[in-house]
Amino acid sequence: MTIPHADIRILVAEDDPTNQYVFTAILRSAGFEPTIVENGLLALEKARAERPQLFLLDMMMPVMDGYETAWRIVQDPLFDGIPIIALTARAMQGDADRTLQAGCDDYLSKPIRRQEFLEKIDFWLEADPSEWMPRRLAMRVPSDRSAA
Amino acid sequence: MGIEESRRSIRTKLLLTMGGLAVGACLLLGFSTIVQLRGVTLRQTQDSLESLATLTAHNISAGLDFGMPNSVQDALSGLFGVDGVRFAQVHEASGRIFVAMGDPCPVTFEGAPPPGTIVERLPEMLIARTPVRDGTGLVIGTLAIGYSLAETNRLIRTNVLFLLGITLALAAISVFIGHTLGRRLTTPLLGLTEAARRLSLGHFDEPLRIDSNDEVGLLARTFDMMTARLASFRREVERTNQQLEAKVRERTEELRQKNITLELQNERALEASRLKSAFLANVSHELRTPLNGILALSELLQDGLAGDLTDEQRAHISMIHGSGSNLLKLINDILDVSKIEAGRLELRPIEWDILSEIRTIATEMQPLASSRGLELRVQVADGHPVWIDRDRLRQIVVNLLGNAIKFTERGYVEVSASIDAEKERLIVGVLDTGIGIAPEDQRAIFQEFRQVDGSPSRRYGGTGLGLSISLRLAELMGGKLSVDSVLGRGSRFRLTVPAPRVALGQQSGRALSEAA
Repeated sequence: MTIPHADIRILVAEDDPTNQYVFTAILRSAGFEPTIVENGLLALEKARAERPQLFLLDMMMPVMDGYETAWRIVQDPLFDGIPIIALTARAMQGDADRTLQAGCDDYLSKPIRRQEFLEKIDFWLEADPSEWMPRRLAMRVPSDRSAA
Repeated sequence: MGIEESRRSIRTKLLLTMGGLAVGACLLLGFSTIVQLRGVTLRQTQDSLESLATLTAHNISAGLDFGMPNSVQDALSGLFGVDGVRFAQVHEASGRIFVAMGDPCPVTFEGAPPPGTIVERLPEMLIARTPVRDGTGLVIGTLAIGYSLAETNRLIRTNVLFLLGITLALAAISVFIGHTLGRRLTTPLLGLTEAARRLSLGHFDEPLRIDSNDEVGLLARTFDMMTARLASFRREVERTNQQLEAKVRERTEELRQKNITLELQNERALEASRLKSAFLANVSHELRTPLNGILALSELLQDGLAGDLTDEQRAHISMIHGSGSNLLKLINDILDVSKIEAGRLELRPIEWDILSEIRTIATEMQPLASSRGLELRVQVADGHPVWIDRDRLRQIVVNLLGNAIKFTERGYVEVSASIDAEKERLIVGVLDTGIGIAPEDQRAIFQEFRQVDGSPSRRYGGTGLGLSISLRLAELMGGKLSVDSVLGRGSRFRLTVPAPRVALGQQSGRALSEAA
């Protein structure tokens, strides 16, 4: 059961122009209309303006990397219910764990395989937030620091 | 405390000895003198009294004989001119008192007059009795004269008091002398004691300064000599100690310097290792980013998402994708080697039915074998969950199977796997009917970038790192990887790694920790 993709807003944070093009091409091939930004800070700004249904975050970015961005998304109740998928270089052991610890809900290793990539996106779009949100809420620090 | 006691003891002894001797001598001498004096005095008094009585008896003879008391009284009254005469009585031969003068007589006389003059001694009085004879020598009465000893006794008492006074004075003098002497004797001894105490506390530099020619002085001088010796010994020991300390300091400093150097080197080594890891991570990331583009875009083209392709274009794109894949594999392998070499590769064992996993791998490899016209035989027993690093074991098996398929032109490839429950280990065998490995090469194939022909071979593809990584991973897991091969006939790789059975009680806990 494939959900219609046309009205799904996916926010992609990726600094490499080629990969921006690649992700855009793959997502468009599946019917999505993604928004692409160059770093985490821009992603947060964009997300506040037009609340997306899914975050795709590259971990290695200038200005604000993916770990920091994921952490801020997790702390902000405004983004509750929006899953985060990390894109890692899988360079070192533990990279995947780090993304999960930073608050990402899942991760994909670069280079990505188109099929796997799209399957994972569908999985998270269909996932029930009541099942995965408790983990995120458990990572949230008390409210006086959530604005940080 | 002990010192005080001994000092008191010596002084007391001296005092007791000297005082006791003096007082004792004095008392002994004094009392013997007094006793003698008393005896002499008494005897003299007695003699005088005797003479006086005899003489007086003669004088009163006529008066008594003729019964003339007045005449007797006259004669007797002269007696009282002598000090001490208390009474005089004249008795007739019958015993009747003829004349009594002075104090009353304290005793009564009975019986006949004594044959001669006798003197009786009472405590306070001498009483002389003498017969009174007439002209013919017939005893006609008795004369008794009482002489008081009060004066004599007083004299003796005075003497005794005088003696006691002298004794007291002597005792006082003895005490004084004893005290002085004692001090003269004990002061240097105390000095010695104090010096010994200071010596025991380590003060060797203060001589006693006791000027005395006696044994105490000798003792003090000997003591000073001993102290001087000790002081010189100590200086010697201190000098040696200082030399030793200096040497120790020197060595310590050398060691410290060496340690600093080592620490610096270690820090540099660690820093280098850290930088290397960081560099590799960065390089890997930097390489993967463009690879992501290459692989993903070639996939898009292959899938016709950018429009239809000619067969030639499709072939080119396929080659681009293949090269990219190889490059990615190479990057992954290099990263693995680096991590293993840096000791940074950590095993992550989980509980897993590894035999099922090996069957899955075989299934996944089936298309590759088929594409080369090879039969892939699978002989894997049914298993149970064991404690093992699934990903790393998978990596080894995939590599061994991939190699077997790659280096076999005809025939078959066989994978077998079982768990030795008793020794708790997994045994995997990968057999092929391929080109085989000459005995002299069987060691070399486990080295980096080596294939059988001795150089990075393009003929068979691959990075030349797979077997090296597999061997290192097997060893890291505590296992072994060995090869048995005949050139031209085929090879058999044998992998054994520990695979502890998961205890029933541990399963849930491990599953939880894995999930976390």
